[in-house]
Amino acid sequence: MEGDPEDWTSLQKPYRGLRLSDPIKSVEDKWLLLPAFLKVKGLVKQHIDSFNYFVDHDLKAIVRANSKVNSDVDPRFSFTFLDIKVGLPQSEQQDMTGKKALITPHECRLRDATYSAPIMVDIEYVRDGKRIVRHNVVIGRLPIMLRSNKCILAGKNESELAGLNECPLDPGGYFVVKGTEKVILVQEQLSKNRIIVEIDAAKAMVSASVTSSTHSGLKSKTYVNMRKGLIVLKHNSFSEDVPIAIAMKALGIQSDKEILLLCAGNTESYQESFAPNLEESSRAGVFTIHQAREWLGARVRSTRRPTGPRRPNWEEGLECLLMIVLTHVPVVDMDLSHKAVYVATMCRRVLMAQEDASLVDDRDYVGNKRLELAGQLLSLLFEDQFKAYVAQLKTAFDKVLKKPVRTSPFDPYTTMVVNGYIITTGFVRAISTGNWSLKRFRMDRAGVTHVLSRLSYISALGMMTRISSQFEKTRKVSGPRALQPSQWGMLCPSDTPEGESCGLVKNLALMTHITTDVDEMPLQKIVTLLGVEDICLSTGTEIYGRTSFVVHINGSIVGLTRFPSRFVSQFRKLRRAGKINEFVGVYINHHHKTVYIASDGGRICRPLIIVEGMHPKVTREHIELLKAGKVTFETFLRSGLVEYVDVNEENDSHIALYEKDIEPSTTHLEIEPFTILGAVAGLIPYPHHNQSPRNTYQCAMGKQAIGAIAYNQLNRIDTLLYLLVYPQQPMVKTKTIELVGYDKLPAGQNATVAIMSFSGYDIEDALILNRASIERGYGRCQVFRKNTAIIRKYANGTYDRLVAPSTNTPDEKLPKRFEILDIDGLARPGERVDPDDVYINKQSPKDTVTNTVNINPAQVEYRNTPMTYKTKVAGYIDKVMITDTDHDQALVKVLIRQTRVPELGDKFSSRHGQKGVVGLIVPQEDMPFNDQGICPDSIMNPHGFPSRMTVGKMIELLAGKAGVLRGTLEYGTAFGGSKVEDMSRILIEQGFSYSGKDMLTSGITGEPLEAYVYFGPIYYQKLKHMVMDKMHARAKGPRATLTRQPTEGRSRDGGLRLGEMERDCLVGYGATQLLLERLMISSDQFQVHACQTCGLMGYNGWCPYCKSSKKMAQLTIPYAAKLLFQELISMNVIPRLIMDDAA
Amino acid sequence: MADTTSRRLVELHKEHISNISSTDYPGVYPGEDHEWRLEDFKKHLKIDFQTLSEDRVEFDLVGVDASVANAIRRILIAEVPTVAIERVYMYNNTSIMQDEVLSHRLGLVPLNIDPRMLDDAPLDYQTGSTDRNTVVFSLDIECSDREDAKPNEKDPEKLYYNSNVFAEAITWVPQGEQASLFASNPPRAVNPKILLTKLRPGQEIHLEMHAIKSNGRDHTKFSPVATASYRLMPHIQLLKPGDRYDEAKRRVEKLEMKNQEQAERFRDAFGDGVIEVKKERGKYFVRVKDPRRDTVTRRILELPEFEGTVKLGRVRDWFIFSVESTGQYPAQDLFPVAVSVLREKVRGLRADVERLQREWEGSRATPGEEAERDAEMSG
Repeated sequence: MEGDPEDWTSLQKPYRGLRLSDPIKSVEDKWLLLPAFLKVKGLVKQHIDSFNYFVDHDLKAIVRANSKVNSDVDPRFSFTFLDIKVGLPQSEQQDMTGKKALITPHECRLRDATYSAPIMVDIEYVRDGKRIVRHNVVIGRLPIMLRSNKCILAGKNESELAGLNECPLDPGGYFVVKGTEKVILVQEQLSKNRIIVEIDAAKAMVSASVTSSTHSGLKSKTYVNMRKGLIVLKHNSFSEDVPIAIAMKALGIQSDKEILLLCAGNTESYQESFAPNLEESSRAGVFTIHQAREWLGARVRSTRRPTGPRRPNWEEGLECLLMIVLTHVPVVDMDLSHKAVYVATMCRRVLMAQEDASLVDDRDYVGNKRLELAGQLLSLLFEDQFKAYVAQLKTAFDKVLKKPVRTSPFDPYTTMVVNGYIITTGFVRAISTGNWSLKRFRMDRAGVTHVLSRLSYISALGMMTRISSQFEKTRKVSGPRALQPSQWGMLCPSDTPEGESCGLVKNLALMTHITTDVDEMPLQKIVTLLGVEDICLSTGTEIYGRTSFVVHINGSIVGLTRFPSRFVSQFRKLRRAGKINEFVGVYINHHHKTVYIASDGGRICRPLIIVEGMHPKVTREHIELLKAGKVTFETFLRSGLVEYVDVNEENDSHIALYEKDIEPSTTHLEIEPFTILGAVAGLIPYPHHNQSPRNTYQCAMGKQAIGAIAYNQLNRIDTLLYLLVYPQQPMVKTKTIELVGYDKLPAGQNATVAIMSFSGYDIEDALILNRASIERGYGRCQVFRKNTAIIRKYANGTYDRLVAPSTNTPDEKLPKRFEILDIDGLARPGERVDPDDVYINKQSPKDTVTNTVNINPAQVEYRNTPMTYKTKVAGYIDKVMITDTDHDQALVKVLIRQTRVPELGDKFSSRHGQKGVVGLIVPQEDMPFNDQGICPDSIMNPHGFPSRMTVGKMIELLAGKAGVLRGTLEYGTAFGGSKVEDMSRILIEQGFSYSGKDMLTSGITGEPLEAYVYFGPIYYQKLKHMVMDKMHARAKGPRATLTRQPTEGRSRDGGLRLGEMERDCLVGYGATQLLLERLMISSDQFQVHACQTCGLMGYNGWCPYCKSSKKMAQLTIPYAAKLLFQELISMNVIPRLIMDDAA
Repeated sequence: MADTTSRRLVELHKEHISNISSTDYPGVYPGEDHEWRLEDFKKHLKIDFQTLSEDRVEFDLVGVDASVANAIRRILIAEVPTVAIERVYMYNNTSIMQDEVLSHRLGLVPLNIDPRMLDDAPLDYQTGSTDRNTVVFSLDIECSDREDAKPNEKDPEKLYYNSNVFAEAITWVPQGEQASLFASNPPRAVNPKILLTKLRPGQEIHLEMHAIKSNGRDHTKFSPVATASYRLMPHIQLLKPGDRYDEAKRRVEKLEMKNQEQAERFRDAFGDGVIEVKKERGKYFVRVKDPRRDTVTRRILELPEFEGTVKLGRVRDWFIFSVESTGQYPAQDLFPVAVSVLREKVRGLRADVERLQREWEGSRATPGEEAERDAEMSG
């Protein structure tokens, strides 16, 4: 036997090189699951998944629900939609052969076209008594989300994408509508169909509310309120609050005992507080079901059908209960018992919360939130439009059918073809304006879509992960804005804007996934198979029994179980075995004594490693297989090693952060702690060493950094494009940087920084730059600006034209401003454009109204409508593109480029929320240098550190310096990264001080500096704010027409306002002449003639009121004052000027 | 090692550096006779070459003040003239690189033209450019497919001709008598393998470049040095235990250690080869072997066990110069050229000073003028 004592020694012998006493090897590199996850899902998987779900499922469901079109005229008429599908994106224009070619997203961007695919239906109808089926009838066009499964980019490899002019690093997930890239932001909402219990302290009221929402789009909110001991049911369709006992009776629970048991259970204290409610119903004289329904029916707000005989009250009440109240609870065969249990549950939750305030729900809890994605919004839009389309079809059909005699048999297909634009335009309008106003669903939202920010790669990426909250920005409440503990791992704790929308706009963390709807029918069957008893078979005693747990599926009550743990573990086993969809969540709520199963869309979830028996199920062998590329993330999911856990289930799990923390009760293990950050916050090196607001600031600034935008950046023609000439990947990377591809499309440069004081031009965060670095290309950037002209065709047959510049006589010299034009009237690429130069020499016909068909085209008169270069600094023509739009208009785009060198006042920032402007540019010979002769590229003042506590920046410098010296890239990954100790050791090995501080010599005196200086590389970003775009001054210039005051703003060459506060200073100081000059003489001085008799303004020494010129005086007043007087006069108010001789 | 009294030392402490400056009159101390004498200066001035390669030279400059050494350093960086491309005339550029960026890169290419062969750049290049002050280059290159490329070839170099444009593609276009003047060493890029840009089939670049002579103050591309800098000679003074206020008495050549481990710890606190451990009569000693190799890591000051046993410093007037040439000048020529620029500047300054003095004396000679000027000023 092995148990023999002599065998004990054999156990001590190494087995396969391992001893029993050896520490158990941990799963190294389990973070590799993250790239595997991102490989499958991509960074914007939530958008793409949602869109795919819409196209593949929602679209079909909507058509199925509205498939029949009947005619009021001809009852024999039949028209049915059989199926719907979406084709591949293709051009709206037909080519020579009459075919529509496939289009690429890039072509759409350049041509201001919409990247859309035809929506095709199969229809069945009767013509001449014959059943006809037509396939693939186009009813409109659907804008296609890039990289979705209908997009031509789906599944393409890098070189194929390059062939399509598309960047392989571009995440997709947006639309191209009329040439602009539009994103439908993720919207955050309170979850539907779930009971939320709240306390209104002001009204001393406990209330349970539920917003019912079903697939048919009906939404209504039902409350159960408890106030002063009385519980009422409240719903919009009842004109007054319904006492709970009456409501229960109306729902079919007649006996008071039963009501009491259902609502309060056997708990004595609940029964006691509920008892008065029973009296309430008898006081109202309601004892039976019928009486209750009568009572209710009398209080129903009649919504529709004013015609026809009024039905008895009880019927009205019953219908309301069946159709309007708590619509999400299923009613089968007029059986209201589910609804009764539901109301009772709400009631009990109120009683519980009344007794124990800790049972009140938190509406900011992420588990109570649902995220609405592009797919859901588009599906609402499509449903609305499809219904409108069907209605339109119906009227069109009726119109034809009404005609008694027809020449040819009626074919609905021809009518369909004519009415095809409504869906197309509906989509394009909604996405390009962002206005979702769907009357059918009582929805009126503006700002749903946004233009994808292409300032930098990170800004585009950050936009795709953004979540906007429906909460109003103006309200000053902290609750919804606060960081929720349940956000852990789901939403980035750092990435949120500052200011009014702080905490309301959030960003997804790196591994977050958002669920789509999963069919709940199979779940119900599984639940029954797992031994759950139907809820309708039980009374309150069983429901609230000591051992029984209620099972909810997606908010509706399904049944009872007495073994919740066994049930849940069996359920999870099935899910891990792949028998149930991986995105179905299940968890026990011990306070409510319920098991909740959720399969609805919009839940936030993330993958975790399953732990069983204190061992993570993912082992080193699995990781080895993953490294070898033999398995994918899907394999991990399917073999039950990793599972998706939503917020609610996460709350019911015991998750170990590291493998060493695993305890007997542990259920899951984190894949990597740094995934709690999002893509944007993931760029920060050592963020766990920084003060948290600094990380938030960097998240905002990283999006303004100039760098590379995409591999196709030089093929793009964007309105405004900033590029860095020599971008570098950071010396100190993070794993996130590699995962999102920031090392391939970086936005910044590794600057050697000396942290010291220099010259005083570096106070208040100003930076000192080395002139030699600038001259070698540091911080050099390019600005591309698009200028568009449409060569219009007018209704009268005339059209705009481009003409070569010409002079009156051949030997006359061409004016300078036309010099860069080519013979086609467009500027030559590569030419320098100076201010006021013409780069598109366009002419438009003078008359665009009169019909010119009979007029000789040579006689059409034209006027010049050229495009001139308005910017003050010269640029170069980068590209000229001539194309046509989908609407047959010629389109000219001219891209003008500027190359900019850093100058005084340009803004730079490190990755730690430390921004600063250039304060001084110093020649290299004046810069301090170290023993190796290295000069810093920039100098930063050390006063930036103590108050900001950006220790991460210091460690970045240290790690960067070590990396530079050793020739490696170091990692500053959150909660990990290269250790300071190791970095210091490298510095020592390389002959530097471990502290990172060098001895510098002043370049000015040539003597050593008295302090050792912290010296090394820090990744610096150049931000888009440059003085060149901002500097402005004017002596005199344009004035506004109405007030004759100087115009406002740099773009209008406006004046600089001496504002109220400045005025107050001058008033206080008593500088009257200066005031007079600033406010009137230099602004809108005006001479008026006024009559000393009547006090009214006259004209040319004549008072039209007094009909006299005797007592006229001339005076100088601001034109705005004169305007005010006249406006007052026009309103029947007479301002009179009472004049006095100036002493 | 030269005699190093504390006056010659910059002292390095754990967190700061002291005694960094010499006196207001370097080398002069109150109450002592330090009159400047050429013989003394000559005696103290020392220039020792340490290493010399084609593009790098390291030498010791001993016996001058920091201001002199720094002046030479600054002149090397900013005032020694070189020739570099200043104007680019772009005829056609269909590469992905924008004209400005390509021009900027061309400007930074070091050219092997001896600047002494050219005149200074004219004030107005449009009228004043001649073969004496401007060197013309051209770059004409096109990319095309290689006929002999293998079907599945991925390497652009094997697929195309001229997929990379290197600095060697810059060709010199002799002007006037330049052909004979530069015959021995035709102008070209110093390093032929500087990558300028990349091309793909169908792309081409045709441009002309004008190179002029200027200095690093005008633009960094004219700087003849990759860098020129110096460091001060490290100085390590071992101190035996004793009266902490009487340092002079504690100075020792070698320091006794408790055991070998301690000695090695002492040694390892410095860079390789700075300290040597010696065993003499069963005792372990450390002594300074080669302070030049010390990189001033200050490790020894961090170790509590060696507190007070060593004093770190650097010799104030001992400059270890390192000059790295970008190729226009041979590295060993740079220092003499810099000195001659310095002398030129001194000459100019002296001439100015003398002129000022003459004017001053001249104005003194005619008091009337001065009175006039005074009247003007007060009026």
